[in-house]
Amino acid sequence: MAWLDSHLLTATVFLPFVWSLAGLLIPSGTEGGKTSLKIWALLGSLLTLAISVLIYQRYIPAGPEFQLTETVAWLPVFGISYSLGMDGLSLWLIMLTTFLMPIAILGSFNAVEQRLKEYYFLLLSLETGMIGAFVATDLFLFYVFWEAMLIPMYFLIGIWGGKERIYATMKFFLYTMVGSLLMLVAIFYLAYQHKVQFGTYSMQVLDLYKLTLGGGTFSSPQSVMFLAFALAFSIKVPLFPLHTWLPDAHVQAPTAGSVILAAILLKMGGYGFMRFAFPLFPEGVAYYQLTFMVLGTIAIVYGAWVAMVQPDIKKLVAYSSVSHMGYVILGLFSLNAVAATGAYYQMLNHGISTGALFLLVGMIYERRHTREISHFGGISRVMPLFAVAFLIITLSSVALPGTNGFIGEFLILLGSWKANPVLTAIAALGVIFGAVYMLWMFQRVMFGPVTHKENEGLKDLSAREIAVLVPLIIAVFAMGIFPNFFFQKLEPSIERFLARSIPGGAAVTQVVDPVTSSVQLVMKGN
Amino acid sequence: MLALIALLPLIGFAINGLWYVAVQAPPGGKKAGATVSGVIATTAIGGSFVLSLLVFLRLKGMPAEARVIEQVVFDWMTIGDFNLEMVFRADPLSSIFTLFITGVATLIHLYSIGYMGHDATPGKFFAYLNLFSFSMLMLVLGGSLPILFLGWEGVGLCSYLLIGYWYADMDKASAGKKAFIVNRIGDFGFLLGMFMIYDKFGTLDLLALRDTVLQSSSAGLLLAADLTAITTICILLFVGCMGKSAQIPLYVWLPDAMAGPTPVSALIHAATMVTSGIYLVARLNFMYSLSPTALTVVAVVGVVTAFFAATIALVQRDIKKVLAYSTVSQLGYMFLGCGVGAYSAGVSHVITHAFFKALLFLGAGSVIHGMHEEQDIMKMGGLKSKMKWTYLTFAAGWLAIAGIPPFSGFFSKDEILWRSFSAEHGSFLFWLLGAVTAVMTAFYMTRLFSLTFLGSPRFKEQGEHHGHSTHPDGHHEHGHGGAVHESPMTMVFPLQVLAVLSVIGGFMAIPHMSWLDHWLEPVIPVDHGVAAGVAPAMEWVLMALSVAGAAAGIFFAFKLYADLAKVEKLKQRWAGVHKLLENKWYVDELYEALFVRPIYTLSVALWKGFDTAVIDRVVLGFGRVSEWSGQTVRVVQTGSIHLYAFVLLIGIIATAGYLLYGLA
Repeated sequence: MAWLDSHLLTATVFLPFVWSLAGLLIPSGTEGGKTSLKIWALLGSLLTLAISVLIYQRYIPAGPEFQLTETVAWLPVFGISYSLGMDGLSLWLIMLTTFLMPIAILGSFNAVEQRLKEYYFLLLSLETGMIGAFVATDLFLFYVFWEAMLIPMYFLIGIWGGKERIYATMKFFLYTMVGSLLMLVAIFYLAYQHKVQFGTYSMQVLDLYKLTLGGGTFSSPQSVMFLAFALAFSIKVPLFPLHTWLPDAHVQAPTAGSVILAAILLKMGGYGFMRFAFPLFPEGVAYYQLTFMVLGTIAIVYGAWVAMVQPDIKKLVAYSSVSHMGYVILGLFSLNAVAATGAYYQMLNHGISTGALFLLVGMIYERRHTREISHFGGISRVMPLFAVAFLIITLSSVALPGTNGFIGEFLILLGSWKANPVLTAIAALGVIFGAVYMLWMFQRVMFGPVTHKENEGLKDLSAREIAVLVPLIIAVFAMGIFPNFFFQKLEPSIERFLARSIPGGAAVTQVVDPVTSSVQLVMKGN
Repeated sequence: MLALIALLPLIGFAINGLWYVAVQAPPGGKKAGATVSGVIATTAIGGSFVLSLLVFLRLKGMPAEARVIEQVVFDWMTIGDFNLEMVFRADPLSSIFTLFITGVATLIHLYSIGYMGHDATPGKFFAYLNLFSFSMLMLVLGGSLPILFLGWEGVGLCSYLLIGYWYADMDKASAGKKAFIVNRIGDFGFLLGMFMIYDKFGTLDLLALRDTVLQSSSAGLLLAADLTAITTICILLFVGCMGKSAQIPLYVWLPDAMAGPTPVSALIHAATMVTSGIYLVARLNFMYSLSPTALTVVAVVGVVTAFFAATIALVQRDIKKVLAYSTVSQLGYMFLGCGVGAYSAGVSHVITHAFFKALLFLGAGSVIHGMHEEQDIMKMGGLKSKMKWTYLTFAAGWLAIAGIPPFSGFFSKDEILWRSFSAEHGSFLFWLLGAVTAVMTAFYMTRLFSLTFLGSPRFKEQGEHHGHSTHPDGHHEHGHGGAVHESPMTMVFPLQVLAVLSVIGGFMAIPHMSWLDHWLEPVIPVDHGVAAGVAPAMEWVLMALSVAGAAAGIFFAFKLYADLAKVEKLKQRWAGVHKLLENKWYVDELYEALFVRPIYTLSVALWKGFDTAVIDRVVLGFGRVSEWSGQTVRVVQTGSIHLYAFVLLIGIIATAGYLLYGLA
């Protein structure tokens, strides 16, 4: 078992890549070959899912910080090593990845008919990159995975994308490159600081947490370093005003690309903040706390407003991501357990509901080859099962209590109220506008009479499409009703995250005003 | 057992929902009558009624102060010391709500079997109806604010789904969306109120909150700042009530909500959901009572809404619209009661209103059903002889709402009026507005009654077949001709039961010997305090005045509407006022101009003028990547990529230089 434990993460990370390499050997000239290629890819992703369940089982929340660790020296001169390990923060994002991958692959069966071999190869390599980034405990290794997963994404958009895919790919490329290069410089600076302070280079995140860096002013190392990391992560989130690559990338990407992009790649940003930017530079966080809370709040309202006026459903969903991920930023920078848990949960929720939305949009796109809202209307009558699924996911997106979306938004706002009531009140407007853009879109697409002849004969969901959607719908309710199932294995990691991210430790976080405390004492006293 | 009260309808929802998805919805799905799904749904909610009765009896057997039954189902959210249980709690207030909700809902489910008999997707309809009942029961049984909120938004969802049930008609779909969004505006206030409560008192559990507030209040621990906070909390939560219970300025969705099937209007938009706001205020009476400011806000909003909505009801021609504005108006009464501290008077009006308004709506539904989808009262008349049971039962509802003793509405309304005058927070103005509203209520209800049932028919009876094929999904395709007819037994029976309740329902809350006040006492302290300078005898004077007012309203309406030509003349003489009222004071148009258009315009401006024009230019730089359309390949090809690479390089060198020399 010990051997298994110390190689489980490596196995999970590289299984998809190795599996997809083998897939390259399948002859794909014939129809039968194509089918076996699809099945092969699906099997690979299902197998990865099965292994990741082992990770879930073996992770003990009360145990050491990083578990299932594995370390092999790589470039010892620079303190670089191949180090893997996982905690609660990694766990659910890994599960999200392995859960969505088979769904995205199954959802692609009819959408992609060209260059199948390359397509599934890239999808599975992408999975390797993403899981790798979630389990890397060496900062340099993290950077390698972080960059590596971008390459398949460029190609997925650039080759299988829509009409303006080149423009979208370039924009995506430029944005992410700028961010990650600055982060790379900052990573080297940290390794160098470790040498200065402890005598050796190190890229181990646990070592780097121990660095003492000055903070408090604009030019202090903590503020500057934080900003370098934050830029990379904010672009990925994407945080207003660095979000304009997202709508283009989403609209141009093939369905599976959009699903992975929205559901998992964006989470790299939030994960990066939680794993690196916050605990490494607590004083940098303190210095920029208000700035980022304001940006998060703007993102929530701005994203919702701009989403409202989009004529293209996919673009609407893309802007809704800006709004939903704004909550994540607001929650993280509130620096308390309730908001941080909510923020993390919101990332999972967004993965489920936005992933499902892109799949749904893909399904009607395959039928009608358009995503213009005005080309639809009255679809409920023609596709009643599709209507049911679409409605449930829409409700999850508008954070109706009982669905996953509510838990995230509620906890974030409940926690951020303690940090900043004014911004929270503004952010809560997202509750209203979120309903406006989603329900208005839903109405124009699904309700009313069927106004376009082409829509009359649309086929309702096929068995394959139902199989794609049902797991997501189950997740929507399971996460909305039993959040504690997820919190159990998350809680200690959130506590560690907070203890490191608040200058002076978590003990002094609660600024309690004396009146409130006396009132609360009365309550506890009885 | 408590959880089962809510769970039974959820199970009904699951059965009917799955049946719809698996059998009715797929291509070539079977069209089935409403009987099977109707019976399943009615059984589910009927079971809840029986259980509610048992819970009520159990509570009754307990000593008054100990009347709380609690059931913790599981822990919902636990983060550190923040713990939210999925907890159900029955006390006198929630048990009385549970009783009338499940009771009225069972009758309306039963009624729907007949009413929706020709519907294309009855499985869906009854699934929604059960889901609504589940949410409503969560709302009143939930032991903490977030669970209450779960029900609160859940009923909003079902309202949305059922208003837009005939979604092929875009107006109905829009009405559903409007309801959801206006309610969300209210929920925004509710959420903020919850956050503030948690911040201030460290708990969201209703019982713990009550203990905390009452104890710190009696221990003198609440300082001025705390009281200000409590005022803010109460007003924020009341914003939620304005949405859910359709008060000014958020009432605009309720009249439009009449687009839904009539049983829905009766259940959701008259008897139960819209009274959630009163439940919330009554539930949190311990907080509202600490804030005279918040109470005044509640009372003023309530009484102004009551008056304002009644003026609109005077001239509407759609039978359901009249009833809708009447509901808004009656809800205003209930808040007036709460706002002067007479919470149990508000609650008692909730219950009597549930009886007579459900009755009136179901009666209207019976009329609409019998008249084949005609809703214009100007095209009715003389239905008295054709629909005997509908006529008789409707008459009971009419007298109840008009406030004629001893019908139920008289007791509850009169108590509110008296308390609005005599209570510590009351005033003569409240009473006056309330009394004038009562006269108007008697007038417009008599107008409705007279135009519908009395006089001679103003429609052609045979051969007409209007409105049947307007909905492509084929609801209401009657198999028979155009003869006006009485409704089937499944529809008449609920009318009869509700009529009896409307007649006798008021006896549970007879002023000065109110069983209800006594029953609610553990939750709502009984306070019959009369403000200084109010003579007790005034109660009888005011009562006499309001009965006389109601009688006068009825008399004049009868007289006026006996001669329609005279009405026409009157309308012409007051054309301006009539137009203003008929167009509902142009409030929808006002909101459209004030909020909807500006936000839409702003959003487009942000998208085109900021996202594309500014951010893309600044972030990507150098203006080359500027337009959404065209040009894209050229941008890549013209070599600006070198420019980007160059800028990147400069950036890296600058940062690296800074790091090496600036920080070392």
